[in-house]
Amino acid sequence: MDVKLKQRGGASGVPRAAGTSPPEGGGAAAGPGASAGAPGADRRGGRVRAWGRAVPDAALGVLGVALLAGILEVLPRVGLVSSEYLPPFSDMASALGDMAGEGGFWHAVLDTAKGWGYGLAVSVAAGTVLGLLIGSVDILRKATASTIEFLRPIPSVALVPLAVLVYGTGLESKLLLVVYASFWPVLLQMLHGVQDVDPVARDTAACYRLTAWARLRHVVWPTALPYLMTGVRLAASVALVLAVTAELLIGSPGLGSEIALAQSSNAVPAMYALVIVTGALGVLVNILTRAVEKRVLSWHASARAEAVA
Amino acid sequence: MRILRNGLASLLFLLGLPAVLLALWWWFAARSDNFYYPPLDEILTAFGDTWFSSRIADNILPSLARLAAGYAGAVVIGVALGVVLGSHPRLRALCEPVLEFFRAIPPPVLIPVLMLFSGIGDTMKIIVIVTGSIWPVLLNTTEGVRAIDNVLADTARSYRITGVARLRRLVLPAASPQIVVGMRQALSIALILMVISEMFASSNGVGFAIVQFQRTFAIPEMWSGILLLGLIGLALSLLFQLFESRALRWYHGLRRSQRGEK
Amino acid sequence: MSFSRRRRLSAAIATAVLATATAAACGSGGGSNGGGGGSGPTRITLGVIPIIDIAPVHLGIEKGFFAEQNLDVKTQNSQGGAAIVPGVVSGDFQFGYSNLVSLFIAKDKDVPVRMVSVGARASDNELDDGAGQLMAKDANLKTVADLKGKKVAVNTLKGINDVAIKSTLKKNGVPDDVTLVEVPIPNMPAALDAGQVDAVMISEPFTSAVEAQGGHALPVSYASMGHNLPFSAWFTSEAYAKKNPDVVQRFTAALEKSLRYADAHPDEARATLNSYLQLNAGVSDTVTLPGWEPTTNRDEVASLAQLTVDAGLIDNLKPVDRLLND
Repeated sequence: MDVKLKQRGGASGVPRAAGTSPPEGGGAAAGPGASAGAPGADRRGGRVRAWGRAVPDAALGVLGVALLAGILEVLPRVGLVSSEYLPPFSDMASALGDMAGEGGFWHAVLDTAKGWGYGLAVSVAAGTVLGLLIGSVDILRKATASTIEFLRPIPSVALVPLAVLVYGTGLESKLLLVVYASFWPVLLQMLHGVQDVDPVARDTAACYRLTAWARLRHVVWPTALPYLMTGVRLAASVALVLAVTAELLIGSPGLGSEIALAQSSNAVPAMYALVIVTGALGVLVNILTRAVEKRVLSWHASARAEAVA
Repeated sequence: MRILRNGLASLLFLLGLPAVLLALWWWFAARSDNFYYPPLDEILTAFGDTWFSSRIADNILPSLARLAAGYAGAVVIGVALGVVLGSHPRLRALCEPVLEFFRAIPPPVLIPVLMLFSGIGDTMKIIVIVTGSIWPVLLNTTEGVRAIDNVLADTARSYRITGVARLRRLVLPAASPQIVVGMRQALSIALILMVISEMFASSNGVGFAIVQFQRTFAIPEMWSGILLLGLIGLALSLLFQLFESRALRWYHGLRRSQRGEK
Repeated sequence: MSFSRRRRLSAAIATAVLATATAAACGSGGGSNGGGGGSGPTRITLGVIPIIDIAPVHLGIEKGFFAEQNLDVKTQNSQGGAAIVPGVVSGDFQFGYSNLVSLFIAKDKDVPVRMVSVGARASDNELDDGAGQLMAKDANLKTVADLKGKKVAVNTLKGINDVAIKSTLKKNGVPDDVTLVEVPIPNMPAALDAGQVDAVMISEPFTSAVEAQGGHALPVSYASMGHNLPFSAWFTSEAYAKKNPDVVQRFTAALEKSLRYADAHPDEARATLNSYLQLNAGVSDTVTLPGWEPTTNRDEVASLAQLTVDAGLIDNLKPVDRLLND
């Protein structure tokens, strides 16, 4: 790095308007990082566009999905892959249509959603509380760092026999795997958020002899919230992946076990139809968590710089 | 003297809690008669017997090689794509739902599809690692590039700094803190996916060994494999911290001065 | 059998603090009731794999054979032993389905399981076994001797497929120079097509799919381990068997009736397939069914165990008696 261009306010330069995603808190969260602005997100203060606002972003998103469908349609038709193993998109869609008429399918979607929702709730609650606690106490933070790094790369999948042994094959096992994977992003984001409290604010709070509770409420919490929201968004997609994986391996009812059944019956189009549903749920979860984030952080002029610890 | 004390302190912090947890495990497992929770000494004995023999070359090295290749691929492709998507908002809007779609597909479902295109060899496993761990790099890079200071961008424009020079002197340095965050997250995901990819169509690797032990009910060995994964994760994280403190020295200094710390 | 509070806690601590959070969030899982002391039928859950071999259970439920014994049976699909065995050991499933080789290995490692009945049997034709059949596409790959130096896909290594392949090579005096790789059964047709492997140890409905694409059978299959040999079993945990001998006895009686019925009425067994699998139209009429005759004895089980010893997966025949009597 031979040229140091001076940055205002750390890495992300210009303060962005409320409603855009806050910058990523650092932290090695076990999940995908920040994602680009939501389709249709209002970006006042954004940059000049290369080509006007003729097409809204949401429409572009739909176009992107259509392109993907087109590629899936063409690949087997031109013989790049055998349609026996990757049927054209139209076959998948018709299998999906057949499925959507059955009650069992909606049950499966609901079961997966339940596993995702409960698991995410537990992760967020546990990650927030532990993150606040560990982040606020210096000695705890130092003492737990190595353990956290040790536990994080252990794949949930390796815990399948253990989960089944302790919790059987129902919802609890699914939750264990979901929570084990999605807890880390929340915890780590929270730790970074607590770290990022402005020293001046901290000292001021100390001067005024604010109680610990008041300090938490008025100083730490507002700072950590954007970080937490990013953590929640990361955890949300990880939780979905793990819910389906758990169903696939353990056989708890849900989309995953339907996929396993389709696979072992050699019902290829049905299998892909279920995979499409899983992916669509992922898009939905992303839209949902962004909407929540936008609401929660509406007061927040997202102009904090990232902490990369 | 102080250096020594500090060193001791950080060592204590590094090993203190794990030691306590191990002791707890020891105490509880010794009292459990459950087949799936062997006493810790059995696991540790298994650990020595299992991983300090020929298995290092047979399993750990191939695993680490695939991990390195997959991780490098994820970083390179993720940064490249991220720069493109970060500088073109319309393109980003076009791709986002598709990306979110793929992100939600669990690796065990994706692997059979990838097998169609990339066979059952190491290529498939490396691609699995790339597809899983590219997201944090890609998304963080996109975000970092998007957030480049307008003044800087204008300055670069008026000085006619374009193309490669712009990338090297403006875009990458400005986005580097974010990119490193993504790289760090990607590392632990890459490790998890290394294991998952080795659970399919494999004949060696740490993940393969763990599954093998699980299936043949060699439970202490299975636990020793999980222990090994944790240790690999810890080692990689320490290595990464080293890399990060070097790569982002300028940035940490800047942050500290902004916060009024020394 | 349900977990004691303390053991549950120790388990949680041994893994991670998180497990406790989950436990607190959703109460206790663990064993469901298996005693059936109250009124009404005893509810039992079976851990199964969604394959053709378990058709008799579904047929028996339909026919009311289990209800006759005052049992209310539910099946739950799993990907395999990784979830079924711990599920049975922990009491979450009262009974489970597994191939016998895995059970021998489990018993060899002191997993507390007990066999209650034959699961399914091999056919009497080395070239036509629905549960495990070696298929290839290469016209030059016809005999057992042709396998020398070839790459063969099996769905799990160190299991029944190793035993089937190794024992058949040995019987034919062919040196064991075959590389086995793991490929999930649903992906085998594609792997074979693409030439990633030379042959696949495959089961129905995929055997028919490979055949339809011009694949042919080699004389290596479960049948080549022994005609009509039982290759799988229904099992329970030792603790459950000790605590609920009458449920085990009733379940075994109903199961044997179902197995016999399915064996005698293949058409009805075929019709049942469509109730729990999503087979493509017409497939259920053509797949090769396994045998289901439940009457067996120690020697029959031991002959498969001997092949397992020969393949180097267990040391001796001790697991057989323990599996039958523990």
